[in-house]
Amino acid sequence: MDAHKKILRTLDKARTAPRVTEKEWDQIIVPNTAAEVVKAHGLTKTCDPVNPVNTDLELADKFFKAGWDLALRLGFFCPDTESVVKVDEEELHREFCKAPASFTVGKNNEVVTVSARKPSDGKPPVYVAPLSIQMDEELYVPLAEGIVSSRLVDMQEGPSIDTVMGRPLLADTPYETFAGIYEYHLRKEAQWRAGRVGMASALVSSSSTHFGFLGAFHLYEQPQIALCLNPASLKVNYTTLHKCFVANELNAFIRSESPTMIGGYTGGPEATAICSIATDILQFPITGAHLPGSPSYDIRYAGNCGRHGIWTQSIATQAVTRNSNILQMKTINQVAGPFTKMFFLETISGMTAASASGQTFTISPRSAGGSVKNHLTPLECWYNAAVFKGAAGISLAKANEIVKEVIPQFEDDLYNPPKGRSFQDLYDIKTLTPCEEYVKFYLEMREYAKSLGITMPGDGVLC
Amino acid sequence: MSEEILKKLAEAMYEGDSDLVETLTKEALDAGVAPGDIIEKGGVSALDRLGKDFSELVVFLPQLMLAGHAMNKLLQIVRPHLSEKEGASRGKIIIGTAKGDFHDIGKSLVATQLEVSGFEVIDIGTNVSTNEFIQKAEETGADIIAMSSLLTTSQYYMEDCIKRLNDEGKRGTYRVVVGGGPIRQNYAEKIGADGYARTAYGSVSLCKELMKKTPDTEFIAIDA
Repeated sequence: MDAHKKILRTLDKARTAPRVTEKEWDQIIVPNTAAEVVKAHGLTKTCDPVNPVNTDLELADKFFKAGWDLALRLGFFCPDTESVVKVDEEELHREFCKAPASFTVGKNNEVVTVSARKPSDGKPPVYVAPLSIQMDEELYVPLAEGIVSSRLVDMQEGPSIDTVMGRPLLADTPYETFAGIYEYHLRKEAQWRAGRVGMASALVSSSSTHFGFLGAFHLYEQPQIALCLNPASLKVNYTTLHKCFVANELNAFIRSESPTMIGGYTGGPEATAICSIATDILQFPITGAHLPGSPSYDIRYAGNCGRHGIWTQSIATQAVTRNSNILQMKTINQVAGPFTKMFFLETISGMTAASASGQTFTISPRSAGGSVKNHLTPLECWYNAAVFKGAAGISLAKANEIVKEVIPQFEDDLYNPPKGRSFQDLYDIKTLTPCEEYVKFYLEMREYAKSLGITMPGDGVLC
Repeated sequence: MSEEILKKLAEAMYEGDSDLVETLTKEALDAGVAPGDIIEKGGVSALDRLGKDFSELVVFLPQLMLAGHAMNKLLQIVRPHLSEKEGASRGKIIIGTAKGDFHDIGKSLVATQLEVSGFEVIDIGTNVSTNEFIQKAEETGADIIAMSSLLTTSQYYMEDCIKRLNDEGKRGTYRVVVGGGPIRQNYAEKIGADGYARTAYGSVSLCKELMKKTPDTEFIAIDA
């Protein structure tokens, strides 16, 4: 009941707070307040793109204090009521201290414990695949089966579909309600075929509004991870809160976040990092999240494997993981597609920095920026998992050295990345066999990662 | 004297200070500065500098948007002083994110780029239904309907809007452009849009080209 009361408090605050327009929030309140806090905490021009993985832990601590300050000054904007849900220091402190440092999901052989990590922690993080990349509905089961057939993948989130039994999956309609139900059956089939019955999931991925979630989340044996994403950083809406009530009633674990954009409303890397920290901290009193993690993307190319993206995300992660025991999750957004060298290099950069900075959990990949349908295969997922887990225990200085070696090989292509090849192109779908040339390339890229000092655990299928 | 005013105007434009832009634009006109020079040296030069600084993370989206509004103010004041040909707005654009999608940043970036390039832009926000797109276009006499979507489940509404315009005999009135993360040129062409641009910068060239043509006659794609 406590969890329900928390959401009710959020609703009450949103309903009764003074009106603020979204334009005022986006264009004046957020950028001006974030800039003021950056200045007040002496963080101006601290971003160092030459050294993308931050190694100055005192600086990370200063960012945490600034993020905390910003959280108290801002709160979350609610577009449905055009008001701001504010949180006072006592409430923020109380809910932050109550945040879980671990939880367990999955059944039988599939039990996974998600627990907090620190920078350079030797404990491997938890890897979930894939993000909600759009696939043709007939490819959902073979792709998901292929992905979860490697035990490097601890849980399943995507992919997502954009048709249901051949009909268009129109947002905000009952097609979405059915999509949630339909995805449930497809997911069960894929996990059964892969021998992963009991595996935990992050749900529901094929519905952009709350309909799919309300229609299907309860069908799964609980607890699962509930995707209760925010509409944007530092915002919460009724769609998110609909899902939170249901998730709480079913004792699920809430994952809530939305990206901050470097160069967007939040400003430059420093201001974006503190907005990301504030978004994470405020999840506890406002949505009751168990697993927050606002990633930061660079607005210029909608990814985060370039210098500013890595720096912003690494300092925000270090700030939170050093100063709390919360479960930190952030996504790594590659922009290149399958079977391109750039995709694998982006993965080394993003995943190494994330793991070394203390991230607990990630969901990936975002192959081809998540914008090209069917451009995802199991191999990209397994590679992401191997780097993320294999970089556990690496020092921040070593992570920085690796990233500095790799980024120059692809950064010029971030603005016009290669989209790569599709699942159907690279796999025999019937036998779930990747083509020889891609296997060869994948194994070469694993060797390259090893040569950089990442241990690269085997995928259990090809190596 | 004129150069001094234009220098101050460019600075006010860069800062996105609409009130000061209004004052200095009137001052420049009173001092006899050519309207074309006010636009180019007072407005466009500052916007070019902003564009460069945005690409280097020196300025950010809010500054671009403020400058967009300031440029609009400058154009409103200068337009009556231009010849009929020079003074014409480049066109009126209704822009929004399709139903079911609350993503705002990409659409706002495109709206700002179009605004600073001399288009009259009416941003109708996110989660916009097909009915709203058509109704607003009719109310305002728009030349172009611009639809954005980051979600494939919302991109269907782009197709829906074009179909509705066709069914209701209105397709010949509006040019329709589409864009957003999952939108590709072949999709835009398939659903019968007039054009597609891969980036916010490209959307300006696209809309300029489309304004030279009648709606629903030729598909234009800008891969930049």
